[in-house]
Amino acid sequence: MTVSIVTDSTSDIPEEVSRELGIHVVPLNVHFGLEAYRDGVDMHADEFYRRLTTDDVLPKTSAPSPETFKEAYRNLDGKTDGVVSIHIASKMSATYNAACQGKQDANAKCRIEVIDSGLVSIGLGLLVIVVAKAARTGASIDEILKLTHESIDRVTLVGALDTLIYLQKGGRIGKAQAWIGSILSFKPLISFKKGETIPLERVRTHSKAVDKLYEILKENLPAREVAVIYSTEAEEAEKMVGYLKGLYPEKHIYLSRFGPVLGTYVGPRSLGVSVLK
Amino acid sequence: MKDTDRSGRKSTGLPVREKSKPAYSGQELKEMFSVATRWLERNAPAVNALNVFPVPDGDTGTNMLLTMRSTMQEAASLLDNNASVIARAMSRGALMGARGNSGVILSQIVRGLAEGLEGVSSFGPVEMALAFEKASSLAYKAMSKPTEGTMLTVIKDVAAAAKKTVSSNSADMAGLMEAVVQEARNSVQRTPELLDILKEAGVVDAGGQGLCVILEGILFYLHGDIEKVQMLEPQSPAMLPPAFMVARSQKSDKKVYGYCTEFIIRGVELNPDWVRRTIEAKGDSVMVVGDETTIKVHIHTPQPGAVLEFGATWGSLHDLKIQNMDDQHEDFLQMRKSPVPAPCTAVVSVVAGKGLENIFNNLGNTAVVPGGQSMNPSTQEILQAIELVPSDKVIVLPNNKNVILTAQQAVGLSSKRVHVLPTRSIPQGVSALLAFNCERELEANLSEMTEALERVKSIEITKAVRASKAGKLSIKKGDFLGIIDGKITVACDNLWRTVTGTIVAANVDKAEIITLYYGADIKEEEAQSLGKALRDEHPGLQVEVVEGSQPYYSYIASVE
Repeated sequence: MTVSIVTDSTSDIPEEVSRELGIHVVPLNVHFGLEAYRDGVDMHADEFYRRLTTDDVLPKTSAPSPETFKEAYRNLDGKTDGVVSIHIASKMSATYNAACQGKQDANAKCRIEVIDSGLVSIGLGLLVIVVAKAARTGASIDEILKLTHESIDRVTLVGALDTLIYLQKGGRIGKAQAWIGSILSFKPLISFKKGETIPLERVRTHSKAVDKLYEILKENLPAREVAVIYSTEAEEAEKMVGYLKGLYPEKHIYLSRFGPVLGTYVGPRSLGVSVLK
Repeated sequence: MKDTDRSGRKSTGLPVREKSKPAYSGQELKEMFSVATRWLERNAPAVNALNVFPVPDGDTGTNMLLTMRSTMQEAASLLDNNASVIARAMSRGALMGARGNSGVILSQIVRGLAEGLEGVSSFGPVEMALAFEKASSLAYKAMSKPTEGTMLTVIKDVAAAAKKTVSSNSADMAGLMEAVVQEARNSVQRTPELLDILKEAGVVDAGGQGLCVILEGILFYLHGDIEKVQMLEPQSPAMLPPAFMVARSQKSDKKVYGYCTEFIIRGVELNPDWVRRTIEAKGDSVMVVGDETTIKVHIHTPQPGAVLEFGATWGSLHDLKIQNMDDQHEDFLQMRKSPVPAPCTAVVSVVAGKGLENIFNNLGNTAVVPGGQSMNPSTQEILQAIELVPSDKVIVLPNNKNVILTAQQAVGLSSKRVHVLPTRSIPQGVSALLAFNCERELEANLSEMTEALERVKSIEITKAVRASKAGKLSIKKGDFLGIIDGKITVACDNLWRTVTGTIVAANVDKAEIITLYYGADIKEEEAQSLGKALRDEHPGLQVEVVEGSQPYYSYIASVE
């Protein structure tokens, strides 16, 4: 038996990857008005972005219930050496708290460790991937915890957004509030660290923003894991992955998509890169 | 009746002297104002410290000093002994060198003095009193909305006292100035009674105090106390007798500040207008912005609880911030006594044009040095801005190739960590400022900002002031010029053709966005039409039209 790795749907791990690595993903909920959908189960990215731009009401997201976590942990109990459940920053979502509650309610026999990663989206995703790989090779729960804590500070996630409107309306604008109300148009580059939205830089055009992302990649490579993530423009994301594959033919470059949860905040036409050094 | 104590001093604290001369010459006029300027120089920082929040100019003392220096410089080389001639020169110097409101009023006072001394080759107390009257009336005329409780009141009171002194007894010059200084001091003390913001801040008017210092300097000269100007400690408000600093009014007789209350309401189907209308009745400085899901509320109210309760009926409350504004005020007074520089890096930009100033400040600029009509600020002006910003680390954006050297000179004179980013145009400045992040280290900022400024192409459209040649181009006087990155590329007698032609010459086909800043001579409708024409001609190009109100350049544009 090996240690089981659990995370939530905000980790934006490509489905085939989580299947292959045996990662258990607990879905958050996406609400359009009164309708509720489980992220990645009842609603997927294409449908989400279509509704994001056409619906009158902005979608809201909510954490999985403690009950959902309790069930997930109970299901694993008895089939595993232990559970390491790594989640989206508690500053950005109630998911971590729900998982803690779920662990209590589950009253499992095996050891369950719930971790607030301080990370979000594919940044969290890369952390979970690295940890899941270790779990598959038979690492003990303590070794896995050590690896998790060592790796958290080595994750970078930067997004080139088309607009700050979604971030603002979703209440996650943070320090980037200072950029609201600009007379001139610009494209913001935002970094997500320790559960916070950190304004990095403003550039005038989308192509300059993409150039900046290439720069950030150059500064941070080679790295343990790399991912490119997009919300609606697959082509430019694929182009970036192609470029990276050219530089590092031996390396697997993850291509991910901002799921409904992050998508609500970054909006359409966003592109991001994440690196775990 | 004069009261004298044992030392022979009058109750005003001024020593009794022999009768001074009956008449003073032009050179003596120059000397008395030179001594006054020196005394003002030593007191300038103390006067600066009197400036009132929330318009922290902090430079009344400096402005008045610079104005006086300019005044004296004009007369410096004149050896004429005719008072009228010297006074006229001083007046010219004052008018040319006036800086800031206080400097302008002071220059009108000097001008008035000169008019009062018109045709007078040597002057005594009678002529001086008349000069003060003229000074007072000109100073008032200079202001479209004269405010009492400022330098205006002081010169008015001084003129009245001077007139009274010379008419009641034939005082000598020293006697006249003693009465004048006495009245000036009293008048300055009264300014908080006339102007609420002074009372609330617990200070006297900076400009009035500056004028008082100048008059004191003249008195020092008349008493032969010139060395005192060097020796005496400048009078800082904290050191003056209690009468100088008016105590803050008790809570009972001034309006209650209340609590600065801010919060965000999150909910569904919110209505900002409804929220605003209800909240407006509950306090001052009300700001309500938002949409159906998020509303930000800001209000100064004595009853924050009531406002919050009301907000909670609409949705959930977030980011609550409630501060007792009286505490803030206390903190502010404390802070003004010993300002601590902030850790963030500040940006000082040289900008000409209200619209452009607006844009720079909107993007995160800390202080603007107005380029002025000549677009060329002095080293002094840039240095002042550097010293004024509340930060030890400063980046200067000259935005004009003729200002880069001046800016570098200012760097050498400052004790702060200052770097000049050699921006040669407004578009370069804007680009650099967009890349600026105040939380980042200075070096990292400089490298990102340098990269950003090199990426943008700058276009300037102006009029040729004379005929000339530029490469193969033949330029007639009055032609419109299209300049790309400092090089004249297009010369044409039609403004629109010049603009569109220059933009094409700047490789607009590879560009994604053009920002057009229209100058003071262009109406908004015209600029918007030009923007539309550009969009029609170059589909897929984003064209921004923004008010720059800059002088001399009908359009400035960035091509990116």
